[in-house]
Amino acid sequence: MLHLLQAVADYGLRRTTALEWGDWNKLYAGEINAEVLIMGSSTAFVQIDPTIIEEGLGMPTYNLAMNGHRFDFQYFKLKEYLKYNQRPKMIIQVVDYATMDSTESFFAPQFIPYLDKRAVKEKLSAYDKDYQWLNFIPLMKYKGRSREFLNGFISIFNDNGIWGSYKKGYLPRENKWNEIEFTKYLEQNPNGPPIKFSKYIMNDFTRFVRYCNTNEIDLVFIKFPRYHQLDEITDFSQFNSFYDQLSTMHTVKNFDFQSQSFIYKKKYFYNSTHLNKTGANIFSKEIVDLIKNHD
Amino acid sequence: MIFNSLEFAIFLPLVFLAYWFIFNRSIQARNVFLLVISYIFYGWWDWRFLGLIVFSSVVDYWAGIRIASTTTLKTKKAFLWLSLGVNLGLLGLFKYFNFFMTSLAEGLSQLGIHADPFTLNVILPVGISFYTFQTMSYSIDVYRGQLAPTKDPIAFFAYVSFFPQLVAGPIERAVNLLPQFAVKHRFSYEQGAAGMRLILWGLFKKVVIADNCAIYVNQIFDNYQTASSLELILGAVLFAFQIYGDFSGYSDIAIGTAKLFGFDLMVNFRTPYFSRDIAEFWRRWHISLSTWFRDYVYIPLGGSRVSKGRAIFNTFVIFIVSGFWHGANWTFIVWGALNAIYFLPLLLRGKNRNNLDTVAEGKYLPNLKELFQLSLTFALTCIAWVFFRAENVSAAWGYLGGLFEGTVYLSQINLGRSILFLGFMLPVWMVLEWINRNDTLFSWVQQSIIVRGVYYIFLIMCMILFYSKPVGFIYFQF
Repeated sequence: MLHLLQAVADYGLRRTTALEWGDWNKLYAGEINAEVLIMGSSTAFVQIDPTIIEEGLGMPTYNLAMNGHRFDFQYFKLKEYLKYNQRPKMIIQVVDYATMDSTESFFAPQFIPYLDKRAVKEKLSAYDKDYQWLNFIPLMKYKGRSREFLNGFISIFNDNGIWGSYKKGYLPRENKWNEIEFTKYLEQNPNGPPIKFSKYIMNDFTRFVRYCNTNEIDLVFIKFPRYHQLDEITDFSQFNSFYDQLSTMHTVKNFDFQSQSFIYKKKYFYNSTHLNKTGANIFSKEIVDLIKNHD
Repeated sequence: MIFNSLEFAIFLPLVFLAYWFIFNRSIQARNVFLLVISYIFYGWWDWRFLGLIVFSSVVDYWAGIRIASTTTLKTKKAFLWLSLGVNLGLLGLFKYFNFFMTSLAEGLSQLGIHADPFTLNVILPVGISFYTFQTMSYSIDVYRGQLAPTKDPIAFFAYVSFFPQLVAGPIERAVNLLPQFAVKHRFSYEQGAAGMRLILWGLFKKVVIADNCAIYVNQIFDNYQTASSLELILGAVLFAFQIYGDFSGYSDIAIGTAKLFGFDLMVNFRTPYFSRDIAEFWRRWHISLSTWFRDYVYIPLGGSRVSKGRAIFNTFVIFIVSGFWHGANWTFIVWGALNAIYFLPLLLRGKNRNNLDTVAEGKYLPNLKELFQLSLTFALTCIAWVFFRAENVSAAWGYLGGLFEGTVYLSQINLGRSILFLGFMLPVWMVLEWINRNDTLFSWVQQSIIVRGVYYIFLIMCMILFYSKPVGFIYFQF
């Protein structure tokens, strides 16, 4: 009976258009097939509107970013994407201070309906051995996930489930700048955000760049835009030189927005490292212009 | 080792199999086995405190024999006081010493005298309040001639340390439990199944109700200064559910576990939130403790069959001592005193034994009068729980002040995330509790295989889906 309940919830999550499941479902159904892919973490997920890129470049675009995930998971998603979808012509990779950091946690609920897929199981098992058996004990993969379970049931009757779906993998934020939070953030991080480089992730990243070169995928690095005050307290030299060297070595387009005027205006940000919807619109248009002008 | 842990999930079946297949052949071997595994169970938490249980058991075993064998009342009394002194001394040293010292220093500072309090850097041994009360009841019962002292030290030691109820009760009387160590037990499927049903129900109350309520309760009580009145009301109500789910859940698991080994423990809770007045509440809440205080403190003081002034005094004594039993903090004392204030009007009007039956007996729903009485009693209980949960008395007053401000915004609770638990799980549980107010839930479930199947699957499913970060049992700290 518990197996049956699990199968019903899985079925619902495999057909929903809601949240990350909607993305993964399209990906596994081979329905994305974009010519331009946007990759990154939250700094891509909430900041680059694929519709603006699509209209500006005239190429079907999809935001494949993984909110809150480091590069190894972003790369995993790309590899899964390439198994079921056609190869893109261009990848816009947003890099931020956490891109090269090692993964300590990931958003597990998005993988619940796909734990029968070998690649998914292997990927997650590398971080938590429980994922090797989680799919076999009934309902265990829904442990503490009552809302996800309910969403699975509701999605059988309503494609969007409880929650709405993302716009081509993009979720703009309407939030406004919060000065109190920013002051608190500066107190907690007097030297700015911690920039870490993991050798394992750096190797993955280099492989990814080589893959793009070999397969004639036009790769674009976008250094994440941040509120200007962060640059005054943070040492971004290692961050900048890593991506600058890599882009020179592999002839990758490499754009930095820290000289743009919008990074001085709080009205475009909701926190020091993320643009709100208005800022994201400007940023997305700037990306189009830079890519066009560069060519 | 706690009941909702993987260790216990492995420990229990192993012990169960060894008990019935190997050690149950002789009473002596079985009791030795139960004693050893009980000490392992307790030592899993901190083996250093095993010495305290052994010491308390030795003193009471010996005192029991000497009380019974002595003919002079004076000597009997001396041995009784030795037993009480040792047990209360252990409690005083480990639980109350620091409280008394710091309170004394604070009191002196009010008089303008500065004193650095001498405090002990000791942790509170788990279960000390429970097993010391259990052993004291043995000595008192022997002294009163209500119980013959046991000559079997192993049975007595096993009775004191019986692992299902060692760390958080029920506080068993020797009259009920000790004789069960002297008879051979035969495995009964019915008793085993009843035990498993209780364990499952207890785990559900702990894992689903208490642990999920704890998330909201911690958030609201930690931020009570910025929470709205609506949230503060919710916090108090959810704490009432949390502490009930936590403690009655523990008791059910303990009683169910004991049943698996052929032992019957006393009922500790009878749906206390379906009480029509505070007296009924106390007949249904933590029954093993409230009857302990009734039999060993309240009645010896004269109970209610004394002058009005004395009856008021006795009522305050029993409730304040009961509050103080929970912990060395003024919050528990105020909680106890508040319950005494709730109780007094009933006592003085001779209405404290009005509601001896169960509410809406033989009916599906209560009538309007009963509904009002239930709501009022629950509201009063929730107000008292605020003192029980708050860090200190001034925080409790601050919390209660905010509660009556009348603000209704949500700053601590995400309604979207909470709707499934607050809007579905809690109401379903309350319905099950309502069905169980006559102890009829299990017989209702047993009526058909379909109802039984749905009920078990539902409980297991909820325990998985609503699983949250495990929280330790609240009563372990007492």
